[in-house]
Amino acid sequence: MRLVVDPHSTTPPFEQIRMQVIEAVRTGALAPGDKLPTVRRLAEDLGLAPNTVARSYRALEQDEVIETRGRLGSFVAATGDATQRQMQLAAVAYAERAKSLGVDAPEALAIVRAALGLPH
Amino acid sequence: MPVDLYEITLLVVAGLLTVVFAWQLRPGAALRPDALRDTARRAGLAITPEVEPVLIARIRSRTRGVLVGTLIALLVATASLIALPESPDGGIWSGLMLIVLTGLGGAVGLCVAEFRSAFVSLGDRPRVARAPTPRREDYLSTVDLWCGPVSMGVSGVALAAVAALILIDPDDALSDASIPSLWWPGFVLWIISLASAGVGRILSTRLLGRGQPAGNDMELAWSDALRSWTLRALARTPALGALCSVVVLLTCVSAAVTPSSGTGTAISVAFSVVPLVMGSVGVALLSMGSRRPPHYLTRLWPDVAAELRRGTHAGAALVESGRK
Repeated sequence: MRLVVDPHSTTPPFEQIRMQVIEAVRTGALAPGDKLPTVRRLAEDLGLAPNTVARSYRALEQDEVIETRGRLGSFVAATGDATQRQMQLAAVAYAERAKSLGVDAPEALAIVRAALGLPH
Repeated sequence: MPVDLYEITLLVVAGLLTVVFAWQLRPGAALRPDALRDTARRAGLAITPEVEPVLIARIRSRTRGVLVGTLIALLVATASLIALPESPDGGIWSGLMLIVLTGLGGAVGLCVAEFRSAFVSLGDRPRVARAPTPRREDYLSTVDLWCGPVSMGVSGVALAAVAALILIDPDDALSDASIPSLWWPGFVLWIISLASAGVGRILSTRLLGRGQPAGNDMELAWSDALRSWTLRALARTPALGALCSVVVLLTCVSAAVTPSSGTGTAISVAFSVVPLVMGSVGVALLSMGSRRPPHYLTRLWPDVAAELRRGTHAGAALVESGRK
């Protein structure tokens, strides 16, 4: 898969990398167990500071999209669809928050539909 | 202080080669007119107007790297040859030492040029990277990967066999010869090829970890082509050294052996058969490789490799289409 970083984009470079890796994992362009380039290598490829790439990798690790195996490097996580899992976690958190605020299920769903730009 | 003919010849040859390399290194030396076309044909890639200046700069930098590496190796080789005793094979060893060491120097110089290319600035253009990072196997074919270890194994066995033959000496064919003098020239070349295999492995690993600055797929493909040639140079140097060590070993032993003995006949046969077999295998492998699309294209750019495979002159067509 190709990672493209556009310096003129309004999206920060670390976010561009993060989003493209997530998309590649979701579409299967990156399979579980695939090794990602080292931070230094990707930084040289993309003309970025190593810290920027490291930040992106840390965010991907927190999202459980990738896992770091010590000195072996960073790999695409082998535990299912990371996007699906993250969406489920976000949904559970939203449902709990709605309950704690006393918002009933139809109203919570309506808010989500509105946020997604869907018709009521 | 008397200087013998061997040292004078060595210094003259080294001096002439230094002048030739230094002449090629002079500032403003022009690139061969067909250098770009040859490079494109070898790589199986088109030369687009955007790629052309970058490619010219990289070819220049690589040529400079090879020449500087070769020059340094030439000086080291000459100094080593003067310091070491003469071999009993009548000078073949000295020539092969120069070839192997300058080959290693050139490969290391190429590698240094490739390292430096990782720092090329592309300005504010978008940049492309690839995941996962290509491995050694993506750049080197099976032949390239194994030619070094196999050649070193074969020459190691030959060294051991000759050592055993010298020790046993069944029909006193080598009774007048000194064992160390017969064995050491081949052994030194074998050690050099072992060292170059180690150096090559370390440099290859480090090179694969370096970035490939590219603004689009075409630039990345070209970077892959140049990287694959560098890795191939590093992989083939140990094979060259190992094969030269077999030639030197056989030359030394056949020069010392009594021709009428059974051992002498066996060594003479080996001396004629082994270079013939080695040459035939080398030619067969080279011709096999030249008929296929470059290995790196098959592994990293399968679509381009498929296009190349479809037409007999597709490589040239691709190059031409890139020129339009």
